[in-house]
Amino acid sequence: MTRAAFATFRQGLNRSVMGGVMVGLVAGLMVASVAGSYNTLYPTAQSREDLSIIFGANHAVSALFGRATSLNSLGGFTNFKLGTTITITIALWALLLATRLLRGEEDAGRADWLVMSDQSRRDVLMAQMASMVTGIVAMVVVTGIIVMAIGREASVGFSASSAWYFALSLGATAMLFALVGVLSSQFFAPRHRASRAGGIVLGVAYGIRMVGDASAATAWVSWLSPLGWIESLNPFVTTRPFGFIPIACLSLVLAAVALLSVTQRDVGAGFFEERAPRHVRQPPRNLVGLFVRLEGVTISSWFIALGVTALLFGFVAKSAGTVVANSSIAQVLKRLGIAASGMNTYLSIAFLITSVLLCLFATITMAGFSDEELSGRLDLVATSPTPRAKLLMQRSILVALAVLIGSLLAGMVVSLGVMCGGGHAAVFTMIEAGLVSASPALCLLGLITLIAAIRPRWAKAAGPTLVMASFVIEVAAGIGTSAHGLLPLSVFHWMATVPAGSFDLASTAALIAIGVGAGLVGVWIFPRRDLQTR
Amino acid sequence: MSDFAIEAHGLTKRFGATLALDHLDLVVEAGEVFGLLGPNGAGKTTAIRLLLGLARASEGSIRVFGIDVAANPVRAHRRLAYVPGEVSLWPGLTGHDCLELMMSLSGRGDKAYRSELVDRFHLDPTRKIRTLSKGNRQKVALIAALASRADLLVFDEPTSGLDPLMEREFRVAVQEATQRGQTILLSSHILSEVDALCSKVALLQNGKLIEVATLDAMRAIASVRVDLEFEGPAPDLAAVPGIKVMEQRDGHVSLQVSGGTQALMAALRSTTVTSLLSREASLEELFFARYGPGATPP
Ligand SMILES: Nc1ncnc2c1ncn2[C@@H]1O[C@H](COP(=O)(O)OP(=O)(O)OP(=O)(O)O)[C@@H](O)[C@H]1O
Ligand SMILES: [Mg+2]
Repeated sequence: MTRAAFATFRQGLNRSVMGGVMVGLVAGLMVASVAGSYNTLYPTAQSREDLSIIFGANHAVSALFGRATSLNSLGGFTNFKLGTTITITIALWALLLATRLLRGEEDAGRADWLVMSDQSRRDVLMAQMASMVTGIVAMVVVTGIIVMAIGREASVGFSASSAWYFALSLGATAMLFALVGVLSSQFFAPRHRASRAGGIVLGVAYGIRMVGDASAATAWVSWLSPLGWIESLNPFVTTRPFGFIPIACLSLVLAAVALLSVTQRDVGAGFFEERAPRHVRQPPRNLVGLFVRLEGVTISSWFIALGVTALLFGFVAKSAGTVVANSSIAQVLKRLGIAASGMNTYLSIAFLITSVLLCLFATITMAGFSDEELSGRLDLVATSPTPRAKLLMQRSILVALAVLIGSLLAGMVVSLGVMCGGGHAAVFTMIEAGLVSASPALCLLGLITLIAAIRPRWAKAAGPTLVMASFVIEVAAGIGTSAHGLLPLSVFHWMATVPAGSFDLASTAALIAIGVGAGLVGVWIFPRRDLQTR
Repeated sequence: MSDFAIEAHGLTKRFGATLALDHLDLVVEAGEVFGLLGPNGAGKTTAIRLLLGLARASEGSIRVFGIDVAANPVRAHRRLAYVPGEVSLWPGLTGHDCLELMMSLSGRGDKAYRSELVDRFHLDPTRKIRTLSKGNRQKVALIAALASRADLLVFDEPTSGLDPLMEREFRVAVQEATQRGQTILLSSHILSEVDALCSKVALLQNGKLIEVATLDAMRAIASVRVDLEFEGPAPDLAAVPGIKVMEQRDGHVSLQVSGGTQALMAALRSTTVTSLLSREASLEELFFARYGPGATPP
C-alpha cells in the first residue's frame, strides 16, 4: 500500500471503527435483553409450546419477522425476535457508512486531493473499502465477544461457535449492504440520492422476502432476495457455513462492478444526473418555512419509520398478548397489583420502542441547529434582525411539536394495528400511551438544546449517546445485573408504563420540566456566546 | 442620530491566549467607503464579527449608527447587511430561494434592483446552491446584501471568488450604493480594488491598528517613488535622510522618498541627472513598505 493509499484508509477508519463498535454493542445488547427475558417471559414448557403454536402458524407475523422456527428453544426465540430488526439495522448502518465515506467525502470536495495524489481512482476506492471492512470486522468482534459472554450464562447456554456464527452472519449482511452503498455512490450524487437508492434496494429485498415468507407456496420467492439468504443462515438454531457462499459471491460481483465503474465517471458526479425539479417550490419566507424545507423530508421519513414500527407492534399485539397472558408473568404481575392484560404488557414495550425512536428523532433533528451554526449558514440568519435567542427557541419548539405529532400518530397507528390484528384496544388509551412516550424525548430535546447553546460541536454526538446510555442501563438492569442502581439515570425509567400501568403525572411532569428548564437555560445562554464555525 | 456609521472604542478580542484584536479605536463616518487592510491573521474578520455581534468583545465597545451592538443586536441588524468571506448557503435551496429568504428575514429590500443585479452579475437563480461554483455562491450573498439597501454594508473579502468582469460589476454596484448615501466597510486583499473604491483605509497588524487615513493623506505622508537616470555612475544616496534605495544599477536608481523631497534635491545638486520620473506610491507599495520584508514599524 502506498503512503497516499494508507492516508485514505486512515481517513475513513475512525468513523467506520467507531460505528462498528457502537453497532456491535447494540446488537450484543439486544441479544442479551431478548435471551435474558425468555426464561422470565416463558418459564414453562407449556408457555413455550403456546408461543410456537401461535406465532409459528401466523402467516402475517412470519411475513413481517421471518419464518419462526423452533420457538420453543431460546435460540429460535432470539433469532425470531431479533433477526429481522438486527438485519435491517446492520444493513442501514453499512449502507449509510458507505455513502458517507464515498459520496459524503466527494460532496464535501475532500475527495479531490485524494485523486490528485499519486494513487489511482481505483486505489482510492480500494482503500476506502478497506476501512469499511475494518469497521465491519470491529462490529463482528464486538458482537461475537458480547454474545459469547452471554452464552456462558447457564440460563442462556449459547455455544461459542454459535455466537461467532451469529456475529459472522451480521458481518456478511453489513458487507453486502456496504457494497450496495459503494455501488449506489458510483451511480448517484449527492449523498442523499445515493443513500436513497441503496435504501430502495434494501426495501425491495425486504418486500421480496416478505412475499416468500408469507406462505408455504411462495417460499421459493425468498431465494430471490439477499435478505432471504441471510434469513436462511438461521443463527442460534443451525450452523450452515455454505449459506455464506451466495452472499459472498454477490458481494464480489458488486465490488467488481464498483471498481470497474469508478473510472468511468467524473469525480464528484454520478452516472445519473439529478433531474430538474418538476415544479418550482415556493421559496421559504421565514425560519419556519426554512425548517420545513430543510427537515421536511427527514421528518416524514422518521414518521414513516415510526408509523411502520407502531403498525407492526399493534398488529402482533393480540397474539403476543395471548402468550404473555398464558405465561406465569401475568400471574406475577397480578400479584404485584398490576391487572394488565398480556396485550397491554406487550404494548407497553411497544411504546418504549416508540419512545426510543422519538428520542433519537428529537435529538438528531435538534442537533441540526448546531450543524447550521458550524457550517457558517447561521451567520447570515444571525445578522438579520431576528433575536438570536429566538433562533434556538424556535427550532426547539418546532422539534417539540414534531415529537408530539409523531407520538400522537404512533398512538393512533398502534390502535389501528391492533384492530387489523383482530384485537381491541381503546383508542384513547393508545393515544395517551403515545403522548406519554413523548416525555423522554421532550426531556432529551431540552438537554440537547442546552448543549447546542453551549458546545455546538458536542450536540451531534450527545443525543445518540444519551439515548444509547439509557438503553444500555435499561437492558443491563433488565437481565438482572447490578446496573439496577443506575436505573434512575435512564430517561426511559421515568416514563410511565402506559397501558400496562397507569399514567403517572409526577414523573411525566418531571421529565418535561427538566426538558423545558434545560431548554430555557440554553436559550438564555445562546445569545451570550460567540457563534462558532468549523 | 450619530453621524458615525461605526464607532469602536478599545475594542479587544482574545481567543484563549491569542490576542486577535488589541484595543482598536476606529471611526467610520456615514457615507464612507472604508477599507480594512492587513496580512492574514491581522484581525480583520474578527473586527467584522464583533461589529456584527456574532462574537462578543472581551473589552471595549462597538456602535453602529450609535446603537451598541452587544446590547442591542437586533436594532443594529436592521441597519446593516453582511457578506462573509466564505459564503455558505443551504445546498438544497436555489439561488432565488436564498435571495427571497434573506430579503424576507431582513424585512427590507428592493426587488426591482435585485432582479437588475441578478442580470448584471449573470446569476442563474434557478439553480441549486449545491450546483453553483464558488464565485456564483458569492454572487448570491452579494446580491442579497446590495439589494437590501441597508444603511451599512459589511463585506469581508467580497470579491475573492469573482472573475474580473464581475469584480468590475461589484465596483459599479458599490459606487451606486455610495451615491445613495450607504456606508460600506470592506476588508480585502485586492489592493487595486481598495484603491479604486475606498476613501479611507485602516491598516491592521497583529490585532493592532497601525494606521488609519484617507488614501490621499496616506500617499502624501508616505512615500513618493522616484526613478533617476544619471550621466555616469549613480551617487550613493542611501545616507540621505528619508530616502530608501529600492534598486540601483549602473546609472539608474529607484528611490522611495518620504517626508518631502528637499533633502533629495540638495543631494542631487552636484550630479548630472538625465531623467527624473516621480509618481505617487500605489497602495501596493504602501502595503509592502508597511508589511514587507525589512519594513520599518511605525
Ligand atoms: N475562533 C477562533 N479561535 C481562536 N483563534 C481565532 C479564532 N478566530 C480567529 N482567531 C485568531 O485571531 C487572529 C485574527 O484572525 P482573523 O480571522 O480576524 O484574521 P484576518 O485578518 O481576517 O485574516 P485573513 O486575511 O486570513 O482573513 C488570528 O491569529 C486567528 O488565528
Ligand atoms: Mg479574514
